[in-house]
Amino acid sequence: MRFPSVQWFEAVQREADSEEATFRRMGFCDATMMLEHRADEDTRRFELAFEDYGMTSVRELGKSEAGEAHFSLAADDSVWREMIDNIHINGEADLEHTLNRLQLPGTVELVASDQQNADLFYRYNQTFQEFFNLSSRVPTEFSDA
Amino acid sequence: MSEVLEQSTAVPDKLAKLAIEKEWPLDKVERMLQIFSPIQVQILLIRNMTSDQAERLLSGERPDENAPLYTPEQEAYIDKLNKGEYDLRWLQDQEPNWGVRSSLSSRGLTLMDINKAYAGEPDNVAPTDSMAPRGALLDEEYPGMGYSMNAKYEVWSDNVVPLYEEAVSRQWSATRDIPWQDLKPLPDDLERAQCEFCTFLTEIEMIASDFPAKWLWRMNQHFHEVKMFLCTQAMDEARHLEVFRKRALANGGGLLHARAESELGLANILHAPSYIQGSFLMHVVGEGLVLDIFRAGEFLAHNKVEKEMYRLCIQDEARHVSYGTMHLKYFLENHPDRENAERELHAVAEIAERGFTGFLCNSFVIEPLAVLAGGGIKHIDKGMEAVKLVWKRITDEYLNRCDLAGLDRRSRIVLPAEAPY
Repeated sequence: MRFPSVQWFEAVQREADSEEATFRRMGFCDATMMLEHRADEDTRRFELAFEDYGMTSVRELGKSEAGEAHFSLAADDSVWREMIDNIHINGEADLEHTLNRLQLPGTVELVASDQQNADLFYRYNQTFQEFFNLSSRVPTEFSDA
Repeated sequence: MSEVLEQSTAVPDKLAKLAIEKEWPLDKVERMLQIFSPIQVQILLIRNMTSDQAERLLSGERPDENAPLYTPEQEAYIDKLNKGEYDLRWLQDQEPNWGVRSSLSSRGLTLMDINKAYAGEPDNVAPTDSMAPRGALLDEEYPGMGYSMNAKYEVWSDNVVPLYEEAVSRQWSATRDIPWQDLKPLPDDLERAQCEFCTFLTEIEMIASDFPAKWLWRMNQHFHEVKMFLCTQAMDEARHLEVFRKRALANGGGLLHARAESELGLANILHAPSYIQGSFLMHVVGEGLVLDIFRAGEFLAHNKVEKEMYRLCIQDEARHVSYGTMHLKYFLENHPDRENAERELHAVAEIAERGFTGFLCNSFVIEPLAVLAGGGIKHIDKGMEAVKLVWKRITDEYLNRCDLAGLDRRSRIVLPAEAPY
């Protein structure tokens, strides 16, 4: 499954569906996140809507499309690739590759129209982390593979 | 004798009238009020307890066997029941929401669902001084709870209802949900740094239980969602105390040194003269700061235990900050004299921003952070770079939240954008 792609995110959600009890215990998550993948001249953006206990929809945004995300997480290809590789190797993000760990110093950039929207990244952090951790089960290829 | 809170022996007019009607001397009522509350005395009076029977109660004896248990109305009702008759007035009440049926959302029956069905938005001013549920009928005469916060703008935020649902949904257990079994011994400098940090967090967290608890009973029950949310916050903070205390004591370190500077910051919140002042100090300033400190804790974690406990605390803290920010916004937008309200909050912010330094220039807070960030005492200089980053995040996010709430601190903030070290 190629990262990033709609199919890749859907495959991760299928894994999340199989861990429904875990996501239910973590609680509601109502936020739409945009993941921005920067590679050379080509920036791709994916809008992931989380509702209730998991991701309910994902779509790739057009070049000029603003989207409706509450916040975006933006990083270079190398950053995303290292994070996903790390998750594959360890079965989950190790201490140095969690979303918060990458975002706090700005390696992954958090952008939102206001602080209330930015704070959603903190409010549902465990759900997002667990979601990305489950990518360890999704065979992943990267663009130049 | 246990401690007595706000006891007065002045006889309220309503009680004096009732005492005269029941032929109790007023001096006896005054003596009763040295021990009992006006409501307790009223309970005896409306049951037709005699003055002599009350005297026995005052002297610490049981009133005689004829002391009444029932009110006259209750006695009449019991007589009716014994004749096989029922009251059934409750069946004839014209309930304003009779026939309303709430629809379910995908996650069950939420407060938003029932509010949408009926009595969603509370009134701007609470219509009664009672605990009668919003949407219910209430007897014309009732004792009154003595609430002092009866206007919506004093407590409300537009996101408080979903925040309550979110809080209940995202509860966790410091016993069950932290992988304590993965805790491994750390080098002494790192363990001491983590324990000092956890001592600080154990000390400060429950102020965010004590402060709302102090104000809860003063908030009119008409705004029950706010009170319910603050109850979840009190529980969250109890759990934060629990998890940091457990971490300090779980790995061969222990609780270390609490500082007077921290105590001053906590007392500033607890003794704030109004709810809005205290909420600004606690939800926006204090918890905003702690949210970034938790994020730093997750960033600096040396094992899965710390990673998980900080991550879970981040989520709780962010909810509290969200309520506080949106409450400040609602307060300012709906205050009858916004100009004066803003002036007061700017003055409080001047004090609060100076309070930031009690944490960000406190060697017992920032040096443990720097040791954790550097990976040990040898690299504390390197670790201070992370502390500087935290300073910047804290001030940036504080200003962003003030912007959102409509309190322009950007041109007035007394804290420098960058750490002064």
